[in-house]
Amino acid sequence: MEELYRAMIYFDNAATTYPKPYNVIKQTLRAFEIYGANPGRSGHFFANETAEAVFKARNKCAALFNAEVENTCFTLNCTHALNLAIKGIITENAHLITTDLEHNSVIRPIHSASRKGCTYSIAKVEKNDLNTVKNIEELITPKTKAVICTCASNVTGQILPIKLIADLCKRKNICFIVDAAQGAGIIDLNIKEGINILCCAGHKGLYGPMGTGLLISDGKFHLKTIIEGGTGSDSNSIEQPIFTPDKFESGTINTPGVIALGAGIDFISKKGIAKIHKEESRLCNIFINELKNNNNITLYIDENIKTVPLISFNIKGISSFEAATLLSDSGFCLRGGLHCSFLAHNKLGTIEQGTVRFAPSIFNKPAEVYMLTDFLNNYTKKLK
Amino acid sequence: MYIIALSNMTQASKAQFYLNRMRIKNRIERIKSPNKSCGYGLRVYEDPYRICDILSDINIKCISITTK
Repeated sequence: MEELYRAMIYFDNAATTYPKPYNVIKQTLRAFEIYGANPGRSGHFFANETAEAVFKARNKCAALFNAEVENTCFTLNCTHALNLAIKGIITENAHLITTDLEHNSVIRPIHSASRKGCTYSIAKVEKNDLNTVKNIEELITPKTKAVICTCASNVTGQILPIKLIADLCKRKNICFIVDAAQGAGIIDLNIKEGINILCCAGHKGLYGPMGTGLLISDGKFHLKTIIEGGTGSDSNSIEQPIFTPDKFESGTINTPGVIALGAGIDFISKKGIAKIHKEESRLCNIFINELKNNNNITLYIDENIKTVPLISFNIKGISSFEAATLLSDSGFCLRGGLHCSFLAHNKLGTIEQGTVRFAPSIFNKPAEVYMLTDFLNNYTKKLK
Repeated sequence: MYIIALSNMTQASKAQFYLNRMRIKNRIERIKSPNKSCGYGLRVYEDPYRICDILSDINIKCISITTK
């Protein structure tokens, strides 16, 4: 097994980053060793020390997005956060707007709401940012309650014009919910620039452990709760507390996970988000340059759009699932299929075949990219 | 000594973080809140009204002050 890890080259970082920074692993172990009590429940010193460690992690998460610490809630993952946001904002007969690049973690909760009387519209994302915003604006009705969109597609990497959409939503007094699964830790996101609710995973670009996510609000829109229970506060009331983070954190939180997430944020803060973006983009450019003249490889790229560092591609004549298995058998970890984003694949014209996704992290080296591209070029030479 | 009641653990931690930076001695305690529920508060040893004033700088609202 150890030999396998040594031989492995991992490019599936859009699903979850691997490896994790050493300090993330260290802090996870440390949490099990010295932060073993339940934070925010008891009052003994052991619980208070754990609560202090959780607060420090929460503070780091808040600072990364320029948010208030009280409005920074821990969730299990980005999907969990998006469900809390989408199901929390809807009211009877509400209308929601989303885009044609969304992950199922956005479109499925929205579609589920449509069975309970809500309606929704899907705006077309275009290469031209102003056209995308115009498409969204044209769908707004007096009943529109929220615009929910990804900040970057997990299939094409396209970055959406978050600031422009935020300005539109502010003008129309509509809640703007951003799915930052692929953007957090890669592009600068500031909750004070018009994003009302930001949802993200902890285990992707923030380099935290799986089982962590964030729901961050600017406090301007009221969200109903969809999960209620023990919070360690207002315990004599039958009603859920109205203050955050307690309102959205019923039940014991993933304490080792959130403490380690704090270490992940320390890591990216030290490296610098711009530097991470630049380094990973450099690896994507190597990948493109080495494969762009290979007629048996289709790269789904467009030089006219801004993207996060990930690339979808296909090998001629085989499905993306087969291609990913072929690569796996040779030690390369990449994800094939629809990436839980059928809307994006419909748009890309790859709904039948899916795509293989190349998604480097800051830990990947150019040599690893060359090994992958050499393998692909050698393999496709055998194809007619 | 005084106990300043706050709404929850996050508020208490935020308050403690701020007061520690100002070298104002304090301790987080689990308390029975003014509405007779579970809550968190800060044990402080200086003028609690002055401390509540300081905490208002970071948007922390003191729910009540009890003398111990």
